[in-house]
Amino acid sequence: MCFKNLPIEFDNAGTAKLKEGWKNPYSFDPTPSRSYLEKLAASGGDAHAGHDHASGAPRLRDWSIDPVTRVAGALAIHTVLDLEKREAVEAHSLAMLFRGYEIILKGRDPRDAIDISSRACGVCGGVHSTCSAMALEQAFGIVPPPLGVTVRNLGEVAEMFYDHPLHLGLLAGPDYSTAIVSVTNPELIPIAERTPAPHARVHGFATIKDLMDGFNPLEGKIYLEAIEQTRTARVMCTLMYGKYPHPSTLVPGGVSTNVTTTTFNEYYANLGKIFDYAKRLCGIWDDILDFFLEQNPAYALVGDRPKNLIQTGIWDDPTVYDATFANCDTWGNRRYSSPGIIVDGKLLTTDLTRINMGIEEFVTHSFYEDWAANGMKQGRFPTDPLGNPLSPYHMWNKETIPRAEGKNFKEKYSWDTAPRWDRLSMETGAYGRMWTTALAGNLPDNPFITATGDGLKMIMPRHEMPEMELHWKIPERLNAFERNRGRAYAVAFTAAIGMICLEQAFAYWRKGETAVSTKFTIPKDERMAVGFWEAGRGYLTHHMHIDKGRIVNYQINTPSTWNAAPRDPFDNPGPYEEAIVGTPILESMSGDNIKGIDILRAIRSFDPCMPCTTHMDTGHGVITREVNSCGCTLE
Amino acid sequence: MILVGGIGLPWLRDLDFGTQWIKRQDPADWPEDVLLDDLSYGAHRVLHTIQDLQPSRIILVGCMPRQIDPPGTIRRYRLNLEQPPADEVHDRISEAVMGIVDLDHTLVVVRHWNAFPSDTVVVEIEPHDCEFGLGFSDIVEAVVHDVTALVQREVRRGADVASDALMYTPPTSAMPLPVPMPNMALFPSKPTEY
Repeated sequence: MCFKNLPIEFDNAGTAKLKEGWKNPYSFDPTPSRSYLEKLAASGGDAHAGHDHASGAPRLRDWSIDPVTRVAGALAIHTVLDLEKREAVEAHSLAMLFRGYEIILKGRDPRDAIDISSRACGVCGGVHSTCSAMALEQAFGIVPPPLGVTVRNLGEVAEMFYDHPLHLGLLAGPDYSTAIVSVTNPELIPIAERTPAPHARVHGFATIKDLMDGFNPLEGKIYLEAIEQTRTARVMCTLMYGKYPHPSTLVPGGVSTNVTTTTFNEYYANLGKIFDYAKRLCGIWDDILDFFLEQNPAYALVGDRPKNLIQTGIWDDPTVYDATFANCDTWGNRRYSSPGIIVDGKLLTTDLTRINMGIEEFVTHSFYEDWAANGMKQGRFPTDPLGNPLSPYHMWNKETIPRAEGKNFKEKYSWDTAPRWDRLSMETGAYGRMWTTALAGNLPDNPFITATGDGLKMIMPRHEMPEMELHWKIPERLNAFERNRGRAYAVAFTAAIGMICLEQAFAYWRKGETAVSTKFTIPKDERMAVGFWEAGRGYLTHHMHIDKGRIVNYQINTPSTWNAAPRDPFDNPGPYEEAIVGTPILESMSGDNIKGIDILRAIRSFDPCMPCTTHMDTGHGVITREVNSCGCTLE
Repeated sequence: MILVGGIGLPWLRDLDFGTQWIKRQDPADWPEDVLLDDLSYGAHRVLHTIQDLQPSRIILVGCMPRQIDPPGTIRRYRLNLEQPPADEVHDRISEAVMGIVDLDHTLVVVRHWNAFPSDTVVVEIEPHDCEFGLGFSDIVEAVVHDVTALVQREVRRGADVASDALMYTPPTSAMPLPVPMPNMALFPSKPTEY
């Protein structure tokens, strides 16, 4: 059974259809949103049990983190802390800006989508271009030549080498630095000083304290190496894309880059550096995270949430990719990183059609008009091109109608929508990529990655450091620490895929199959299409409807749309919100002077696409300013 | 080599000045040792570009809403290369790696890593229209040629002649504070003596 909550069933041949006898199968009655206190009262709990009547101090404290407006005005987090239980009991994730790319794209030449949608993210400067190009080639009915697919793969491999190191080194890393830990948990510092780092011989840091020093902003070796690493990534991206960020060479049907053997040789020279970097990075993160967990097993509860993951898969096998929706299950299942839906740790499907048909995007608590009237109105496309049922809340049926009204936590509080799969709150990430690939076990034959059932074994070839086998194991829990650990191993996973694709590129070149693009014309009839790809943070789709050579509707759904989602119509929280609730306050501060490091670790572990730079609540209040930034979380 | 870099924000009218100004230039109109380049990307990426190119001089061009001069005002200053505070560098680089393009971020981050040549001049224009859209406001459009003339004059002065622009450090905050500036406002609508 694939769906438990949506009115979809499958016949013996595996064909999906709506369950019979339902007048409005996707309709629902919204569940009123309730606060923690209201839920507590409804369950018979005493909301004021911990109230200190003598001092008047509240037992619960509102605690909001709003530094993200300082960086892009994009994300704010509101939490309620239970000071007795010392944990977060309520959370709201607020995306603070309207993006508007869907509105900008309406009525335009479809080819504009590649360049314009690229700007939806300032970090991943190529993923949206690629996803858009894939949607266009599906709409146009063209297939890129094999080397075109491979070059695109190699470009995206390089892009991940920008994304993951900068998050681990510059954004998440400082949360584990001496500079921060000495303020939040000073008791750990002397222990770290006398604790040898288990992987010292790999990464060169003798003790855990040395690692913590390495994470120090601006001066730590790990921090500085991450900045330098982004240079290598940019060189590799530029080799495949001609320019980075925001390449202009990604086109429907391949790439317009002028590649030669020199291009691939230079890429290989840089890939070698990544092999060594990945070896060190995995050791660094294993050591620092294991140290914290050994000191206090409660760190496993930081950012913990159900193991529900959605991935669209990335890196196509050029021998099977034909761009069609009709065959997307076939080529999707041959991707080097598998698409997949994981619910409670179990893999439900790897078929892109089933992933696609299960998605809805709700706006009950978002600053938009509900275009489908609680599911009572049928969408423009009741089915996908293969006849699979679609919700009126599916992206192909979505209408972006901004309406910033009812600004409170019970009504609307975010510019992000609430995407759900089978009406479940799903998370996505670099670790999710490995998770689905490990469980699916459908990796094309290759000498570098093996799905072992419990994880992935990856061979990192010799460069300056000797060859090394790295083993990422599917974690017991989906928490902040495992997200970061997984992201470190994802660098190795990506490097291995880069090597596979590079060998393919050389093979095509030797065979004389050097074409990287194909001709196309823009159809004038009505077409619907979708690009399935992934950004550094996971899931990425571009759903498109064109007619008369113009875009009628274009919907971008990004990883942080999923991760930062607000509550849905059923009062279920989004992943950030879910991960924060239950996060213990483990910082050893005096009194109630909470700095919030544990909550920040929980949020940052998702690698939010909204900038999240400030590592502490400064207490300076809300600061807003206009910036041009990554807005891929937003509408 | 002299690097003339534009920094702009796409589709935000006057704020895209740096990028669009670079696009309007014909390299043939400039000396051979001048590289005109669009530097509208994250500050750390600009850092890497400058470290790779190692130009002897840099002139940066962009619109910057400091709200201290009338729209269309052109400000020109020699960049004070003293080290910015570490906290500010960390804040700005954290923003930059997450995709924020900002002239001040670039000035701070590149300064921190000592990658600017001693002869670095910034030409800023106070914007009028920062809304979504293409093209400049009339006020800013009217000073495009003045900016070009000003940058060409900076290029022509020769490596051994110091710029006569005042030395200045841009505001050291991520906020658009109304920081008092020395008299760098050159001409709101037409060039004057400076």
